[in-house]
Amino acid sequence: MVCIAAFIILAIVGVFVAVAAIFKPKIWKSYTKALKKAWGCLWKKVRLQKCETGFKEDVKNSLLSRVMLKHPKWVKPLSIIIEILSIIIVVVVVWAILTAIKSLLALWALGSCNVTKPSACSLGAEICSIDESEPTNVFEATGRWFTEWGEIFEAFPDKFRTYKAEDYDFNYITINPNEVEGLPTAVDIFDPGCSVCMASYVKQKKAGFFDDYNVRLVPFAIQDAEGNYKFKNSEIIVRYMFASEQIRSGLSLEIIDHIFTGENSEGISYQTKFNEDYTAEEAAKKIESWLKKAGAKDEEIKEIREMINYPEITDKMSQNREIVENQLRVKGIPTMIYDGGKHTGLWEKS
Amino acid sequence: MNEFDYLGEGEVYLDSACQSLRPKCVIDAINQYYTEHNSCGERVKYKWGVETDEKVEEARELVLKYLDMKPKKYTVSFTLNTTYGINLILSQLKADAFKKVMTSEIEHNSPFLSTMAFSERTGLPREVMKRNEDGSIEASAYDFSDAVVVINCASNFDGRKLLNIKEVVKAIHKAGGIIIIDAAQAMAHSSEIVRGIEADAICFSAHKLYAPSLGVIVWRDELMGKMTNGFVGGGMVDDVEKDSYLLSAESKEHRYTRFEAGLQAWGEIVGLGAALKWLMKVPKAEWKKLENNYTELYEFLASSSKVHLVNREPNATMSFYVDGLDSHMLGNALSRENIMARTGYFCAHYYLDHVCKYPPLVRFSLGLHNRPEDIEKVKKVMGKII
Repeated sequence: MVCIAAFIILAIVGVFVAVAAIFKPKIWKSYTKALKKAWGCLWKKVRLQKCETGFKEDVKNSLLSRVMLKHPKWVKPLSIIIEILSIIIVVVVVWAILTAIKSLLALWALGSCNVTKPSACSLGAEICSIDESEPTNVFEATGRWFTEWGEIFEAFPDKFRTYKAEDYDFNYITINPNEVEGLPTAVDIFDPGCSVCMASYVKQKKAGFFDDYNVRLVPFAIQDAEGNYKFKNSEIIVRYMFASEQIRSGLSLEIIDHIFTGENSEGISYQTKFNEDYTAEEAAKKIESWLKKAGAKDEEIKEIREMINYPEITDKMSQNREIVENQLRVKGIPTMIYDGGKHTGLWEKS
Repeated sequence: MNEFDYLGEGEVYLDSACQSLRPKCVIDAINQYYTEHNSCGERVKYKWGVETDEKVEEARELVLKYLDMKPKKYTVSFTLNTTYGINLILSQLKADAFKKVMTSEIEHNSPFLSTMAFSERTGLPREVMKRNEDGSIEASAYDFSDAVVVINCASNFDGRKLLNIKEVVKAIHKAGGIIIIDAAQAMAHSSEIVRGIEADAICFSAHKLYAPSLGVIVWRDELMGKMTNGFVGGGMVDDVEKDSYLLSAESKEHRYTRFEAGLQAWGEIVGLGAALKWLMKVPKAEWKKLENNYTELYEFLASSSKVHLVNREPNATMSFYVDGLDSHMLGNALSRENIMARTGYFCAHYYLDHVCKYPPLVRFSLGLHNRPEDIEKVKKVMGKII
């Protein structure tokens, strides 16, 4: 074990030695000699062969032979400590290497280097992550570590497949009430409380994306494993959107357009107000005021208010969740499907 | 001894079983060769060459004299070391002249591996004999019919000797076999075990005999008939035609060339001659001093319950391990105190590691250069550690 640890340490130290060697070439020579010996020992160990007088002895002997002459009784405990330390170093470094590999694979396959908590990965695209619950103990964490590998490998084929927006049976709202024939279809999964979704929406609108595609908006309120909503009023917004769309096509666009592009008299965006200030009642009131402004009659608004709690609306939301989380394995939104691909993160004009 | 007064104060060399220190007279002889008659031996006619030839010839004679062997029957050839000597013989032995190859369990890798290679090359079976604790072999327990037997007459980790060597050699010859003796560890301090023994070949290393680095093969002339020509070249022939050659070794006078392909280490051979001359003149008191030294050290080690000696009795070569201490680390610590000792399995992996299951060992091997104060120092340092 000591020689494996030594090899790893030497490999790390090598980076620093390489710099030092520029000024003192002899350092490089002695370092490569030690590295070759450590590698020889490691290679033997890997093939379950003996490494009798390998690097292990050299390392331990040089450390402990002085002690042996002055404090012979310390040798045994110190030797045990060195062995334990080397085991720890090896375990930690091997774990670190595997985790690094896993993170890179996850980043490539899932778009985030953190499978469980995508928002914790700063290397991934800017998203509002759909996080899973954190493991609560070592056994859970170990189990999760392995299941994450499975999740990553499962996602490999997705990288090579073609996505078609029409293939997914979403409950959606169309930007253009009557989809224009000949235009390609795009699906845009968004959470009304997600700031990246808002930025994406604004960019798309400005760039004319909604004119170039038949865009299907999929309102999606991000939930964690325990069912808690990531943004406190997203659920009620989504419910109002689905309910109002049933009363009149295009009505729900008024809601999302106000949240994503509007701001109050103090210059604070409505998304911020919904996320941070409004209670559920205040949120409902605000939405209803927008619906009224958009021409909805009082009895229609009353009907919408009743409809938001219908199981039908809940089912629509559940169906969308199943497609997003299990069929598409989406780790964060906004996620869009268009031009044969699945695109997660802030939309950029190509 | 004055011959070793170049040793520094406090420096204790305990690795004579690997290679002994060279007395000053040997170093002087080599220097003399390089500074006064540096020349190719056995092929030049000029003055320096003649002087070299005389000294090389003298060295061959001294080897036979030291071993009490008859020049009429035996030839002395030089090579690199014992391993090389044994391999030179085994690699050229005719397979169809033998039925099997035998060695013993306590061998150095030199006979142990070369007999494996011989078995692989010829397809002949290989047998590993057991050695009694005193080093002897139950000769009657083995069938030596047409066997090639390669064994040591003194071990390199505890000096145990092949006590019934005469009986073994006789039994092998009676059964039609041949015996090659690895005498590497016997030549310096236990040469009596091999003197006058009618083995088919005796291989040893001059560097364990107070001489420079050199291998020696003392071989019976009849052996040539059992060999193919597998290692030939410069300095070996009287005549060469397009597709044939006449070996010089056909004549008794140049028989030694059979194992001496190419130029030899003339300076080292000259040094061997000087070493043998010196060794044959070492006073009895010096031998007694060596015996006292190793006996004292052996008894000191044996007195500690933590020390596990491989030896059953005192010998100039002794191996041991200490409970709870890594031998390599111990060797390293001793080195810090200027005590030079070997650690590991000393190329006897099979017996020490696989048969006896010993951990790596420390080996103290003493020589004529060791002083009583060396032993005192080792005892003091070891006492502190264990």
